[in-house]
Amino acid sequence: MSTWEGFKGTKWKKEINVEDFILHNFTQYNGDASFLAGSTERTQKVLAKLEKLLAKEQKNGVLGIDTKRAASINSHPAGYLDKKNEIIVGIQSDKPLVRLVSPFSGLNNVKNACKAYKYKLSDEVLKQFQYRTTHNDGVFRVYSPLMRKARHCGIITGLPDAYSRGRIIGDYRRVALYGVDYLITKKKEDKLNLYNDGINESNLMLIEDVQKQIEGLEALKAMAKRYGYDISRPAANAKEAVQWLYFGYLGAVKEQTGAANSLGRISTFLDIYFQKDLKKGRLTEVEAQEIIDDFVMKLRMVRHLRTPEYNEMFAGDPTWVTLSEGGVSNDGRHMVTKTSYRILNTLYTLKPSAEPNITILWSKYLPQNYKDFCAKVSIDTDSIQYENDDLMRERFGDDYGIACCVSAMQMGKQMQFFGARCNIAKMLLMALNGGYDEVKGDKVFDGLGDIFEEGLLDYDKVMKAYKKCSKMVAKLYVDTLNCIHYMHDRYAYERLMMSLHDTKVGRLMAFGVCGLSVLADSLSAIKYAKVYARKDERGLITHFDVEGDYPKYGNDDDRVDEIAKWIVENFYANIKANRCYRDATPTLSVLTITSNIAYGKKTGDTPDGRKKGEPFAPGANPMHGRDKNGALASLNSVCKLKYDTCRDGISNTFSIIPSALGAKMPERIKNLTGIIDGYFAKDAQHINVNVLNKEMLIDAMNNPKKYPNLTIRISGYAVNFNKLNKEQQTEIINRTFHEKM
Amino acid sequence: MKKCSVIGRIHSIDTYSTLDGYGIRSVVFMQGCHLRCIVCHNPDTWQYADGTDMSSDDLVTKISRYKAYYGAEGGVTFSGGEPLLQSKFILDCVTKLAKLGVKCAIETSGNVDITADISSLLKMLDFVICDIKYATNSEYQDYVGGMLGKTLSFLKVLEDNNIPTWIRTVVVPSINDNDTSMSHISKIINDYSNIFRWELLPFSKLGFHKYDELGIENRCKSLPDLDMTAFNKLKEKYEFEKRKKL
Repeated sequence: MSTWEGFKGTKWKKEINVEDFILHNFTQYNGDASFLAGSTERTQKVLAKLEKLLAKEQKNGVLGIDTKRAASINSHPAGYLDKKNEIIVGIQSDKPLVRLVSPFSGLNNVKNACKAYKYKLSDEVLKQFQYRTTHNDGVFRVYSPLMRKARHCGIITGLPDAYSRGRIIGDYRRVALYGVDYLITKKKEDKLNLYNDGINESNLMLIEDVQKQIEGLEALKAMAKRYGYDISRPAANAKEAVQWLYFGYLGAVKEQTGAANSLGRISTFLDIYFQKDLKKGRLTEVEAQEIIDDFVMKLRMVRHLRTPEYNEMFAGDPTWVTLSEGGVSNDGRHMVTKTSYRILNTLYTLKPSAEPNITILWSKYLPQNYKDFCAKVSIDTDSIQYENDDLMRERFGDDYGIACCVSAMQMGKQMQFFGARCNIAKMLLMALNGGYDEVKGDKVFDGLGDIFEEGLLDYDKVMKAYKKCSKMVAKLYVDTLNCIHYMHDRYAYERLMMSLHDTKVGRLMAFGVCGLSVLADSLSAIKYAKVYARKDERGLITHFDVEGDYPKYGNDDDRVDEIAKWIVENFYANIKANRCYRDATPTLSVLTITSNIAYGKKTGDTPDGRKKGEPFAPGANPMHGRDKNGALASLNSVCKLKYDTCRDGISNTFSIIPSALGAKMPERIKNLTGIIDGYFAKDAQHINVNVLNKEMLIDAMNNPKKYPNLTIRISGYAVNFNKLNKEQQTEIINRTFHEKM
Repeated sequence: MKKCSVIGRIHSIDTYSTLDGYGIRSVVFMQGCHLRCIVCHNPDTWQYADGTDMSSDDLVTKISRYKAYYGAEGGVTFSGGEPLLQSKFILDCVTKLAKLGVKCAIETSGNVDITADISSLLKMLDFVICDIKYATNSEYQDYVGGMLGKTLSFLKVLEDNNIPTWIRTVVVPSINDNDTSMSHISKIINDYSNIFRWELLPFSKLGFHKYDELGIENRCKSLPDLDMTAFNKLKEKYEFEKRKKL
């Protein structure tokens, strides 16, 4: 193909293999950020238009909802933010930021979401769906009484049984590299080959999947045509590569409203096209940045309609358009390119934003210039997160992307069945209460023995009961996810996203835990101190008196850290003992996003001293205020959780003020990269670096639990910020931000 | 080989700091101080009886877990309290940490008599952070409970042994927050060839709550707030750093 002229490599030309294309054609960049262009007047004009709409949206929560048309790839005519000035086109609806209704995942949720914003779902849509089984309908047809009870009491929550599961990364690069016609041809070939595997249920399912995928690809072509583009052929230049790739993504987020629709590992790929154009003099650096700016603006415009319950679970309207940057190839070459810099540059050209979720795949082999630039961007914008490529590359290779926050998958070769999380702190309470929900008082699980006696808790007895409960809950969790994903495939299949995966795709089932630090500290208290269980009028254990001290997670103390490590190993082993739908490989994450608050609400008093309703710490973070030995001790505790037990990710948030990184910017950059290097050298997987500005610090004073394990230091001063009273904290804030940062 | 461990009295360890030396450091706050600086924000380190015992081997084992973060510049800073009151303990720690490739520094008032242990210890350190709190002996007596002369002798020993020294001065409102005081200290500093850095720190009320909790008289309660603009002017005028080769 002529559009492939100048591209090296042969394997990728004969079969779909984007990794091979990248490895043969990418250009490393070892220099610094000085080559970057600023934003153009055009970009600022378009951005201003967007910001006006964003301000309007802020007021009401949504800018608008199209209640008249059910969302699909071609449900809407072309729409624009600024038709005259846009470079990359395509929005979900025909008006920017307007949210679509997608009843395929569930009709009630859509109705409730509309209602919450004072809209009403139209009769047309209701009519269209009266004969249609939604994913939600399907799931509730088969949920067992136990599953309903478990869901109701909150021991497993956030389940994608009423909203789209997300966490699938289509390999959108394939659209750019091959053009849609080639992809359709290959899928048709695959479908024919499948008949050789026999006409049995599982193969028939796959055959139908592939047919749907083909239809999805055809629909995508039609969608692009409405915007005036013919994407049947490969992209011929950088602008087309970005546009084609974006069309693939856009189709996917029109068709379904998954919680996390991440973009994957695209910048090294796109850079190949940019390099070609720049070399040929077809593009300037200013124009290259403009294209990226426009593209990122579009990514920031992605919207999904959510219910208030969903927003409580996942606050802040997140979309998790995660971009995986950097990383290293299997043969040891770092994959940082000029486009890696251009993407980060959008945090300056377009101002900081949480979306797209820029995620740096950090390695000891990354060039120092890039590491320093990332650190500077963190300090300036507080908008990026870091993950350990050296750890993940060993297990996933050099072409994986991160879904949502911490979940790694090979691009186009692996998909996952997202499973939210299990409340393991509540699991302990349930074990002590013989299967009763300590909050609502209902009996949920049978066969967990009697409620414990009041009085001193015996560690061995508690562990025996906990192990039994863990086994039972794990089985229930697997069964529940099996119901969900069977139905999701049946009634809300993501045909377009899956068309951009290999036909015989690898499947993972992503389980999760919430409340790890609460549970670890609770078991530590029972083991090392004296914990007395107290019952209420219902005869349920709802209160604990703790006598004496005990080691707490977050202080690099092996006595409790080993307990935390064991907790995840035990739960994962129990999950693995059950078969997952479609023989998916189970994985586990320690990740909560903001749902740690919601889970805390559904959990009673815990033996570590936490009171009923109080939030859990997020992810694998130690509980607020319990890390008394400083940030590195806290990081060390998290390092002890083994990634191979938690391949779906181990999330850790590190909050710090700029001055605690050092007195001046060059020191701060050096020290931040030092923290990340040290943390990852100890095989940790993820760190979200939260660098606070003055407003956030004030917020931290009022809502300390929002900024886990905040590090503030005054030279030579021996104490934690969190131990100070408000007056003292105010003083630090004033002092800290007096000098120009 | 016979394993020898020395017991030290510790207030606490803060595993992460970037403000107590170069790079990322862990700070060991030693318990016990013979001085009574009116501006001290760690009065909870004064009494030797408070705090806990820790063996040098245990300390070294604990610190070794953070080595991965220190990088080329970072390491351990022994602070407190007055670390040089437990120089035998610190010497043992520093010797063992050196074997692990961990660099060490101390933060001291310098208001101590030089012993053989202190001498050996100083020679092993990457650098020393020493306070010159005031320019006159009368101020040292009134506001520190110590002697300027002792600090000067200490600095001489550092100079004689070519030990890179970093001076710190806390700027205290209504006492030394003026040009006269600072230029006087500046003159003192000029006498020593091994001083590569002078840092001014703003007086802080952070420790006030500790005085209340411990029932200690807080002689700084009536001090006015530090004028930060004036402080920054002093900083700009007097601070310097002849960055030592790292």
